[in-house]
Amino acid sequence: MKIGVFICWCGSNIKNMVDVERVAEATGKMPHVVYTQDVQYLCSEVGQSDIGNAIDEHQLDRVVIGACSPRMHETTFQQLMNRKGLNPYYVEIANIREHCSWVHTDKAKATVKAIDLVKKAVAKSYYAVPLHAESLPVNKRALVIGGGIAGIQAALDIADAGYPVDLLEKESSIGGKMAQFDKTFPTLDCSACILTPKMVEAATHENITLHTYSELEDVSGYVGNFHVTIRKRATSVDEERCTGCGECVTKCPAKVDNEFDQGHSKRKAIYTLFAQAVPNKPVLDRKNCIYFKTGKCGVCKKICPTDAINYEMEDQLIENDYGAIIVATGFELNEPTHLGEYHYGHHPDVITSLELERMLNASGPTQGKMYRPSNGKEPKRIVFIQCAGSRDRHDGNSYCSKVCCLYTAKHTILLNEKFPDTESYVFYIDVRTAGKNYEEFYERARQMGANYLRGHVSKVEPLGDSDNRLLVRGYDGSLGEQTEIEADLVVLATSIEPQQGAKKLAGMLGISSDRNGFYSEAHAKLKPVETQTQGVYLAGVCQGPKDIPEAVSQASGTAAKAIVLFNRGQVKGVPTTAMVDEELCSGCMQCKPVCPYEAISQEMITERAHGKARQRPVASINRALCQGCGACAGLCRSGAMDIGGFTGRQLLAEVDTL
Amino acid sequence: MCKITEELQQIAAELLKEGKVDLVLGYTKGEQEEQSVPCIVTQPEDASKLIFDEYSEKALSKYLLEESFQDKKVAIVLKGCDQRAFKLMQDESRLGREDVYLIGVECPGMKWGEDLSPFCLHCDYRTPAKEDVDSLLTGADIPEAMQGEPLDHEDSFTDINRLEKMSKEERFEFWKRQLNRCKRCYTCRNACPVCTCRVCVFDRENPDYIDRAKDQMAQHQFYHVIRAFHVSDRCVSCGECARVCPEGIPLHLLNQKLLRELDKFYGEYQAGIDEVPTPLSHANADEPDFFGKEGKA
Repeated sequence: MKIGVFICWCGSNIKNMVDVERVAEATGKMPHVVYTQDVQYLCSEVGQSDIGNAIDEHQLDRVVIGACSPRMHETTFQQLMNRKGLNPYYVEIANIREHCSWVHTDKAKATVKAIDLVKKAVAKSYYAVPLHAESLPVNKRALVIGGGIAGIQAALDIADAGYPVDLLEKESSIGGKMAQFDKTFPTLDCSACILTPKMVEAATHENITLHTYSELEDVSGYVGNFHVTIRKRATSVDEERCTGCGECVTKCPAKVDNEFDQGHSKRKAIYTLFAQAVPNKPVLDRKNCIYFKTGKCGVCKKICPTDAINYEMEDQLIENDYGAIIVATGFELNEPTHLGEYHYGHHPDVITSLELERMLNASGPTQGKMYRPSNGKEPKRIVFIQCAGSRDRHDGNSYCSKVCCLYTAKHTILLNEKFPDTESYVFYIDVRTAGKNYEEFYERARQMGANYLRGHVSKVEPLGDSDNRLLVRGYDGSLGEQTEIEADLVVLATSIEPQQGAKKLAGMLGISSDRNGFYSEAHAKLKPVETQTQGVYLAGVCQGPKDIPEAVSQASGTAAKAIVLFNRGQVKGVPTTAMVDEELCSGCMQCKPVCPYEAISQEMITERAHGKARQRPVASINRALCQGCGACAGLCRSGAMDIGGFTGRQLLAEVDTL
Repeated sequence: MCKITEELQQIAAELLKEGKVDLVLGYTKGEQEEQSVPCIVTQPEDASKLIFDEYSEKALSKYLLEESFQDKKVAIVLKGCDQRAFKLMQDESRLGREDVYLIGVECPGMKWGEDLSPFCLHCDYRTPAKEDVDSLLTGADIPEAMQGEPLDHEDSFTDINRLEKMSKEERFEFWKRQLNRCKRCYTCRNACPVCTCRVCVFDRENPDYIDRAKDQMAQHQFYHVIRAFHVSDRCVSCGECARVCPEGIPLHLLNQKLLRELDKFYGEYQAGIDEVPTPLSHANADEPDFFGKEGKA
């Protein structure tokens, strides 16, 4: 065994706090270390050729590097090993930058620590074993979960590249939240005008299969080979026969609050989500259907000219295999009833921004007319309250919902244009306009007459006058004094939150969520659309609040990732997987329930003992599924389970060196 | 002769005579008066050697894993705790139920010196469930202290309460004093009916998980703490570890403390009665998070 130790200066990043020459000298005395060198930038071309030359000259078979985190350059050095004909897992990296030079202030002590860290890596490399990744085929079909704008965009991009895509949507129509909006900032395009063509394109694209009114039931498998079960809920309407004439909807006698209009209108029990719904075929909401509640009625069935109504229809389970999964499940808006100071839910004229959005929408409950829910009159003075439940560490979400500043500016502009005699007041903490043309848009809102008041609202209460108006008490920071505004309508910019079912879905997909419940990307900067589970990508607000252009670009990003995967046609498995020592394994299978990737199963092996062949069970690893997390190795009492690159032997060697 | 012993001998003789089993594993009288030892009977006429009494404390189930019992049809005498251990081995794929004839016996409680074993006093599973065994022998002469409800969980852990009241330093001194007497003879491990690994981690070489130098006190502590964790959620509370220790180290305290903590965090779980997986080999999202910001361990 011949080991070369290379210590990187990282310019001054390491060298200023660690005596690199001493580190090289001290580790050079360890057994099997035949060569040491300190280099200004190991990752540079020069640094890499230094390592390469040393490998040739001294016939090194293992390389130990003291440098930055292996997350930065492990692949760089592994590729170098490959080029030199050595197994990439014969390189060991000691992190003497993030774990040492960057966090210490005493050079002498930091040097001692750096020596220990590199010695530890040398000891580990004594027991390194060569590892190989397996190549696995990729099923070139994508599943997109969520048919909002992000999901639609991702599906279209993948489909345009020539790969089949299944687009899953839990509502009866694709379109998502964007379908509810009136205009979009900062250009004031009509939301429907830019969304519906995409919806239609998705529905008619030869490579896209829509699964609306459907939910994910189960996922198993791994990158390139996911096996998915989709539950297609019973719509009670035969898709093949239904022509979408809408007769049933017209005649249905059951009326319920329309969720799409935030309860400001009524819909029927058999309904289409909105006028431009895709697919434009009604579904029957069995919870509110008179026939399903009482057994009587059946008007829709009687009236349907094509006999498409089927009360006996059952949920369908559809099973399919996919190579990549794109999660674009979007968001929910917080219902601010828990923020008592705003009086939401107690006074009909305190509404949320989305309720206002529906009101302003020409196809909304009021056909674009403004009214006060309490008396139907047109409001004259409207107070907007920003960050209602966002940036609130005590009673709400600590994060910023990101889009409220701009859509509130949009609302004031729209109000000014359509109803010039209304006054808009906006209470805000900060106005955040980072985005192309956003600052100009906000400036326009102010110039058009919106009154911005920097400060918190302490209370919204009924004024008690004959008109049932509201009094908004707040603090005006620019004047430095309390202020009171009488309002006809109060609009709350409610907080964006993850979907209710987000956690359950994360569990099925094996992806993680952050502290707020949004899905976590694999790396905040360098892997913003990937997740920790290979082959599962994130698009849109399910990963964190963002506006439409951001959601769309992220969606295209996920599509690019999926297309790259499909074009390559193969995936490399993780080489650092779990390994079973069958001699030690008793097959107790305690490891099976802890495996988050379902990579462990029981297998019978035949062994000869005392002249007889005997079968006994052992644990067996599916190397394609295993991600090398090590949960099984930590659990195994007899130490039969090891992780490649991190064997018990290697870890103990490290500990023994310290 | 007590009723159970009588019936046991009868059943054993029949099983052997009819060729249903190759051997019967049970207990017989030891060399001393107050001693019963494991015994293998292969001939019907030897069935009269078998007994079951309040000295039959040794767990027998573990023998079934030994080489000499392989490829044979075995009948085995099991009291409650031993049957729990058997069930655990069965759940962990170590044994097949169909290869073994189980003779369950009602346990009258084992002796602990002059008195009844404290483990038996709080045992609520003295007798295997009828559906879990092939024959169930009842009618043991139950001492007064064992009649009625078993001591409840809290009462049976008196020593744990005393330990929990100690300061950290006192407790450390207590365990140092206890564990430093250890000679690492491994009798506790060998007697434990749930210590069933094919190769024990302490017997492994390369890597040595534990230093074999027997004069290093810390190594004794490692041994016992590691063993306690390996057994923790699988302990059937038979108390054999403490009974067999030649140094009289109260090893059961480690197990009982862990059992209590596990019950507190993950709900009550009884190894060999409740279904696997055991509490420590699976995780639910709603379990206490000792490493998160909220959960203060």
